[in-house]
Amino acid sequence: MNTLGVIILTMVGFGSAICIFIANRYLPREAEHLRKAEEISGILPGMNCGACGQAGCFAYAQALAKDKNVIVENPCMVLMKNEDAIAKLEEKLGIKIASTEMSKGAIIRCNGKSDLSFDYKGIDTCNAAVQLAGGYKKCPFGCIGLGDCISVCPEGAISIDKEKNIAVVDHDKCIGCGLCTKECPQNLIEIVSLDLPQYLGCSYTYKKNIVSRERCDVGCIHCRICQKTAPDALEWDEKKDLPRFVEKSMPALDAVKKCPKHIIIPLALDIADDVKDDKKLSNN
Amino acid sequence: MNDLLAIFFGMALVNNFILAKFLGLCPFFGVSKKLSNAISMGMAVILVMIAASLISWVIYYFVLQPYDIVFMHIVIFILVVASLVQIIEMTIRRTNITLYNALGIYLPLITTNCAVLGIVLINVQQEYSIIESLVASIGAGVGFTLVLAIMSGIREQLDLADAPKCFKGIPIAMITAMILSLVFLAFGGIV
Repeated sequence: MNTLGVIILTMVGFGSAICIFIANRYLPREAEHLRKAEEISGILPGMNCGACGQAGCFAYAQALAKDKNVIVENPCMVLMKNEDAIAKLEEKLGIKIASTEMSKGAIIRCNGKSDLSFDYKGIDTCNAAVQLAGGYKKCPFGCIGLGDCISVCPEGAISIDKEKNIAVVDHDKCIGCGLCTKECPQNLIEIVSLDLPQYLGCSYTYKKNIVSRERCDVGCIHCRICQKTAPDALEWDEKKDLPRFVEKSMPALDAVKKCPKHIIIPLALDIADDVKDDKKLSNN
Repeated sequence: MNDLLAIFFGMALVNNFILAKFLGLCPFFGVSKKLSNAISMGMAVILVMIAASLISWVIYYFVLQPYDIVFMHIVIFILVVASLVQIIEMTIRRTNITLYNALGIYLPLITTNCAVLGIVLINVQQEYSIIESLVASIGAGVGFTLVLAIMSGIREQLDLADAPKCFKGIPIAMITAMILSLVFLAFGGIV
């Protein structure tokens, strides 16, 4: 009786397989744009990160199949680092994709080195730590450094700098998907275009009776020297008491050089070697 | 006719799959955030339940019982339901793209859903005829859709409600589900 059961089970299995085969063979093919979408989704990374604004990779492929300009307006960031896939997609869509111009990466607006206000021994996530008196670091705006962003990063591009006790992004690995921006409880991570010349590496915002100098060795000291040296590129945000870039793509080499705390961090800006040496000297 | 009505309302309200039998709780919390998603999911479940109970009825009474291997029914039903959902998905995809966009992503979710296997097993357990199991599956699907729609309507409002911070999200939804389940107890007397 047991053998009969096994035989029947196998037969039912084969029967189902044959039914699926027949259905696959004799049903009419799917609509044209769906087939194209399927081919495109084979090229796409398939990680469904949602950075493009679509529900997933297949939804993005469907949007692409309908309108190929979607790739220019809302490019798939993950794809931009992969030259083979881009070449395939260019061939499929018949348009040219300027991948290097569009590539983006994450930046963290904190330079680290804030002293600790108390010894935190709790749940090992930033989100939990920040609930307790606004985090265990003296700077209430700084990176907590417990790595909530690391756990969501699909490429392992983020790591904790042991010395500074903050998260740092490896731009060679970062694909700019933006999953970490949602995770950071301090909202310090931002996705920017990688051809941005420089960015501000401090998120200290003005609060009464608090001076960031007391808490952080590398934070903004509100000296406004950057704004004075590069008045075209920068203006002073009185409300936040921080510099703000007026024209984001305008290089402000002087401000990068002059900032006494080195919180205007060059990204795509080509800084001369002597500036780098200067920086090293002052850091030591 | 009265019997059929009793089966229909019994499945839809009294022995509701989600609130009384606790089957299909995964889509109950997963797909009940938006009303439109909940309705689509419910429609897909009704469709699959009808097809699954019909085909499993045929297999149970024409294959399993004559060869006296009824003890294998669970594993064979899983196999049949899973491949049936595949065929349904393929058919919808090839023939009606609008329907596929509405139901498509929910169909693979249902492949191994316990509510679908549940209706199939209950039909066999209660020894329903083919008409009765058809009505039972429609009733179960309608009940499932009803609860999913009610829950999603509540959850759309719940996001705005002033719940304590630690109750926000899933915890308050669980409590709401509990109250909803108690409310459905009141249908106990109608059949």
